[in-house]
Amino acid sequence: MADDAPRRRPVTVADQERAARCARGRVVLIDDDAEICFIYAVLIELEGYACETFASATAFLTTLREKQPRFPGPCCVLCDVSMPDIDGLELQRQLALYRDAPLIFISGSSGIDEAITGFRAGAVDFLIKPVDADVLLAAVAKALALSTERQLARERRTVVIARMALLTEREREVIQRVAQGQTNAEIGAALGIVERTVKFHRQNAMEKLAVESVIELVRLVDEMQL
Amino acid sequence: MLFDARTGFVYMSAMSVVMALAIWIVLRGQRTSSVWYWCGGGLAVAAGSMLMALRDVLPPIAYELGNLCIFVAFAAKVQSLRVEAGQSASWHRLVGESLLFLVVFTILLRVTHQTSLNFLFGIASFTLMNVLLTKWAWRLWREQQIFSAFWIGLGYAVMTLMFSFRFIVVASGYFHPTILTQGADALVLALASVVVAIISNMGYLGIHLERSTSAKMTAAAAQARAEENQRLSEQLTQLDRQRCLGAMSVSLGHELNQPLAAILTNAQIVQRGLQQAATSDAAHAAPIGEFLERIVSNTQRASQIIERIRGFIRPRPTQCELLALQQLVPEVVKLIAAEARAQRVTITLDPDMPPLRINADSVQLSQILINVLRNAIEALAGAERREIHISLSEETGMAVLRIDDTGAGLSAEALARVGEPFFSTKTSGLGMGITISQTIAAQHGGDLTLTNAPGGGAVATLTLPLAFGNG
Repeated sequence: MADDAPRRRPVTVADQERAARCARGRVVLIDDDAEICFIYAVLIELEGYACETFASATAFLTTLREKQPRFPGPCCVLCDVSMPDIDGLELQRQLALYRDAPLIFISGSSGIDEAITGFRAGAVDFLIKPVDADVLLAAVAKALALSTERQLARERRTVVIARMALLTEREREVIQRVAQGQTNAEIGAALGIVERTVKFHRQNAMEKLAVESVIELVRLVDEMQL
Repeated sequence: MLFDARTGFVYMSAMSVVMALAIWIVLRGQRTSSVWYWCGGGLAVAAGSMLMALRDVLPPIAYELGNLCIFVAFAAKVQSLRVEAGQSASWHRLVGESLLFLVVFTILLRVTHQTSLNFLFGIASFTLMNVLLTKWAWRLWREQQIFSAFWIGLGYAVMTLMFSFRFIVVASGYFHPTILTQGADALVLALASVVVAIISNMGYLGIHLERSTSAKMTAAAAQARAEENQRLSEQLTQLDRQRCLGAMSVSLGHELNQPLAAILTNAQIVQRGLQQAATSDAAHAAPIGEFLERIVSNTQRASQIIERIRGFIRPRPTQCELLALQQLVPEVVKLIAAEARAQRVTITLDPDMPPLRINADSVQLSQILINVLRNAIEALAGAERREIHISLSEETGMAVLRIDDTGAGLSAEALARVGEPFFSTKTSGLGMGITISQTIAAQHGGDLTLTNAPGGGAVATLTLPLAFGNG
């Protein structure tokens, strides 16, 4: 436990600025051409995002394994298709660790095979070099929005799981049946309890899960697939 | 007295000397044994004719010597024509024939004391020699289509008839056997001899003129053929370069796209910076100079790629110049780098390549390297380790360029047939790349071999002679 804990150090102005950029979005840029790496990074940083560049997918994956602490915020990966060491599919597999980051492929040629490979690898967009600055930034913005959405969904799921853990066995049974559309009377008959007790369990469960209406409750149960 | 045969013999003698010397001088550049025999024969005729003409004032032996000289002259000319016809003609034969003639003639003259008998033997021998001369001359004419030889043959045929006629009339006793008669037969014989001597000598000179003309025409035809071959070979190498470049066009396109992509984004950033500067305070403007520098350097990078492609594809005649191999090789590797990257092949160059200078056509040498490297890259498709290593060394006056790959190597069949035109292990291959490369290497005085390395993988070895004064 002690090893995993992030090391403490004084917070600098640069850290604050970086935290602000990361909050807007962090773009991981992978291209083996130094000129391309540099200028796309400049463009992305001018837009107010944070940008990390890597010459190869392997270099990027190595830093991933080091599990360095990161500032919170949405994230996406911008990657050239024709990389000498790892292809897009392989990268996507390795990115399972990095699951909130959508992948955008950039290609030097408009080969249909490359595009198919890219989308199969789970790319959200496929850009052809030379890329117009607006097109590139739009794709980045879209991918970051998707990342935010995924992160929010994941956070929400974490909260709901914590709340679900508070439910008793009987309360869980009752709301499952509610979600299936059974009336209080039917639930009481099925569980061998009086209708009043059913209402009581139901009320408790809704309070614990912090839902206001039956509709909300049903949606939550469906979502968590209880 | 209408005519004295002695005058004719003197004329004949003088004329023979002049013609023999003239031919000797004209053909000074090409004095084969045939010319020696012919001119020697001419001098023998001259000597014989003179001896005959002066027979009255000379000792009696002059008669035998005169006849011997004339026989030797005919025999030598037969030898000469035999040489021209491509037959062997040793001087032993000439000496043997002459001795035989002399012995028989002397015996007939001194022992039998019958003037007509030795005279008839002499005439018969001369007739036989003229028949041989006619035969060899016409054979030369028929076999080698030399028309001058036909005229020589015709001349000697006339002489054969003249001698036969004289043999018949003397044998029948109609004319006196003495050669120095003043009769019509002696006149005709002398005149015919002179005319035939002129014709045959002209004809002999003609043989040589025709020969040298046809030799020149053959040489010209050979040169034309060589030039045509050279032109075809240049066209073929040009086609191979175009095919090579066609196959590499996708990766080269990608290579060219990189600087263009960088230029576009640099320019757009500058554009945005200028717009911001116009709307807000100038302090916020991006450092435009740096981006402009990057645009310039990327434009140069793009044009270098195009220049490399153009230099490779430009059709041009073979043009040898002094090249530093250790500089040329990395340039060629740059041209194929994109293709290698696309196939995930790593090309490494030996870090310490010795400075070696060779005399070669840079484009054609690049072509060999591109062909060999593309071959290696294709052979590495599907291989676990995809590496190509290039090294350069010097071995006994030759530059040796080695290209190793980590592929599966060549199969036994491929090893046996590599370099054969249209042999290819690839379904898409034309099978001309290695053949053309080997031809180019041979034209540069070197060679290109493909073998398997003992540790696995194929090795291409290009050997080229070092330029004079290297190192």
